[in-house]
Amino acid sequence: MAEIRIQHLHKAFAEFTAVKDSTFTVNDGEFFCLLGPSGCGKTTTLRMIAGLELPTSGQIFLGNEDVTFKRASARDIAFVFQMFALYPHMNVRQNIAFPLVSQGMSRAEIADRVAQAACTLQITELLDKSVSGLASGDRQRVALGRAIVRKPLAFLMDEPLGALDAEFRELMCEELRKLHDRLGATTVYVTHDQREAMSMADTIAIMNRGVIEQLGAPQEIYERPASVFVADFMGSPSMNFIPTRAALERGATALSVGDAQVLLPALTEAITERALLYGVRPEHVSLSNDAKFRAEVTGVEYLGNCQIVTVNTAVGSTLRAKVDVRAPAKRGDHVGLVFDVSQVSLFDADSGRALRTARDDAAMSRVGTRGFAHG
Amino acid sequence: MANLKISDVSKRFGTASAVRDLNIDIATGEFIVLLGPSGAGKTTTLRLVAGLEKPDSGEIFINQRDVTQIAPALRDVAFVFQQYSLYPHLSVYDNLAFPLRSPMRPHTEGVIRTKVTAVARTLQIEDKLQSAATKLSGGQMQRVAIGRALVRSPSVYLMDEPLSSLDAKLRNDLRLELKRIQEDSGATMLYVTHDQVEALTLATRIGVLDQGKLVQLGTPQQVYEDPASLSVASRLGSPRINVLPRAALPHLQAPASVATIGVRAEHVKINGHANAGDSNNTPTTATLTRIERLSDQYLMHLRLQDSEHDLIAAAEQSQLARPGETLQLHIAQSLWFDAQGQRVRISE
Repeated sequence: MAEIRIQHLHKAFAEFTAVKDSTFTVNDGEFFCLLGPSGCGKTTTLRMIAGLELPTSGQIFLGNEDVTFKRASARDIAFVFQMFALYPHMNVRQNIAFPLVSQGMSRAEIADRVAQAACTLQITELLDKSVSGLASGDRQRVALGRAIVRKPLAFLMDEPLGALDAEFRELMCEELRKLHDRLGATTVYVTHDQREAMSMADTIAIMNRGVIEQLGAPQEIYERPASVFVADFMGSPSMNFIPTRAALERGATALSVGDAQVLLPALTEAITERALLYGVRPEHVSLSNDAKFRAEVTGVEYLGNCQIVTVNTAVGSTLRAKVDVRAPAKRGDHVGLVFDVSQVSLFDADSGRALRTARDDAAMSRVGTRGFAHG
Repeated sequence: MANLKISDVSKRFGTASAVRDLNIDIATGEFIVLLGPSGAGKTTTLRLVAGLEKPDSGEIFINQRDVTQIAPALRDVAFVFQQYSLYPHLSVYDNLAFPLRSPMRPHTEGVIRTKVTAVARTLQIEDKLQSAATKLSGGQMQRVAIGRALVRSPSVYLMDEPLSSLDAKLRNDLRLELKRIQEDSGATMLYVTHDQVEALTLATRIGVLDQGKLVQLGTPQQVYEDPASLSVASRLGSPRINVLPRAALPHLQAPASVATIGVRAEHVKINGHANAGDSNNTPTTATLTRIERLSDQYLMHLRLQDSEHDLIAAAEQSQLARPGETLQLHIAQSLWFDAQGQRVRISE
């Protein structure tokens, strides 16, 4: 196992810049997710780490070795693709053993390694079956077996669960994370699904247009998004944004929206008049009859353990609140909204960047300085 | 608008039984969602109602009229497919107007204009009416496809995973819109999906299908809180319900026929206060293995100390502990199933 260090990595395809001056480190044994919408550069980054693309500039270190321009086969990593291709004419055992056979490893050692991998993946009883009859989950496990049997320095995975249906994906997520906990292998995992990233990753790098917008633990990214893009991308339903315009003093704790006022954690720096977005997650909005901030309920969605109430506010924005299933709310109701002030974010609407508040300072002193990759 | 009755309908394809003895009574204005994995018979059911398939046995009634032997075009149903198939050479307006210009239902152009404009307003695509259908985004195309069904105001709408090809955000928005349109128009809807979120949020009643059989039919609350079987309980809810063998929770008092216990994550309480004297609340000891942060939920992955079984608890932020710590749990509510996966209820 090894850490992966990426330094000033840059990749351009003719006029199009896929990855812009990217610098980050994947720690030894970490489950690292590259997350973002299609075209954000996450797969290109992964392919450069694998050696399937060469960077325009920058360096990639695997352990202490500079592998930037090494062939893919000379890098000690295993790549798991979305479309796992198994050899249809071989049985499960032969499929898993294949990478070792082609390395010329001794038979005894191969048998040993295959048995070990099968045990880790709990597919020992499938070893002598043909791969063509396997269910999709088992095929996925065999593909993983072929990756782990080599004991590489790192695993690279490109949306390995993308082709599965939602229900099965959730199960496989759990299984992959458990596998990671057993192996402790450095893993770089690419996905566009924020839920997958949240549920598996130790660290998430969220990318947009070739740039890492934020890097940090799932919780950190979710709770203190560095930009509107990140805030909007993470979470389902996504964060609510209430647009307004104001100049605020340092330490300001309230903001006018139309003729109502909303509260914020004390602002760290004064700001000149500008367009702002007041951001609050659905679970931090509650309904209250006497609150000043008024809205009309336009939809109620039952989800079993909670319900999502969609409202149109008096100032013209649509918000969602995630509330207890027992909360009485129905279409057409007029309600007041209360926002959990300790959990709101404020963004500069033009730059999209989060403005610093007392919340960030409190969190920083708690977790240290690791985390934000502004840019 | 009309009611719909599916009575003892069965359909086989070769040796495979796609739909078995299906009975559903749908009242006017109901939004019925058929939920199930692929191969459960959901789409076959829709196609049977539409007349695209003929049942081997049983009858289908629309507004008390037996339509089993009637051609699809004469059944007055509208079908929305997963893959929106618009006429690429026509504008949005002409796509929407197309069903109204069918020789089977003659309308004057004036009437057509009124109807198309009204539907376009509902779906918020008024400004796109003159665009070519191929110039639209995926979400807009699917709206046009839904609009083409709405414009006819048929007796029954049949929708086969109409949102599943859209991205998550758009799906959230269109879901709410669809619900609003259905409530406002009072349309009768039969809707097929494998997405439990769509089922819970859209349906007045959910029909859970498994291997061609209707396993349970009830309101979202009934199906979630009072599932008929283990497969229904596992199909609904996120995170998935914890499924444990009876022996994993020896403190829990349950009838002898219980083989499996289902516990929803929100009913596993950590260090909660057990009610004194209630033997069902005897605490259980577990080790915290990992905390998963899923949006607003903290999922605590726990391993029971006595039995080495894993389970997940949904916790409040204030209850957070560190991995490796030992915690006292109590199970606030549980669902019981027998060896065949059927619900075991306490006899009154």
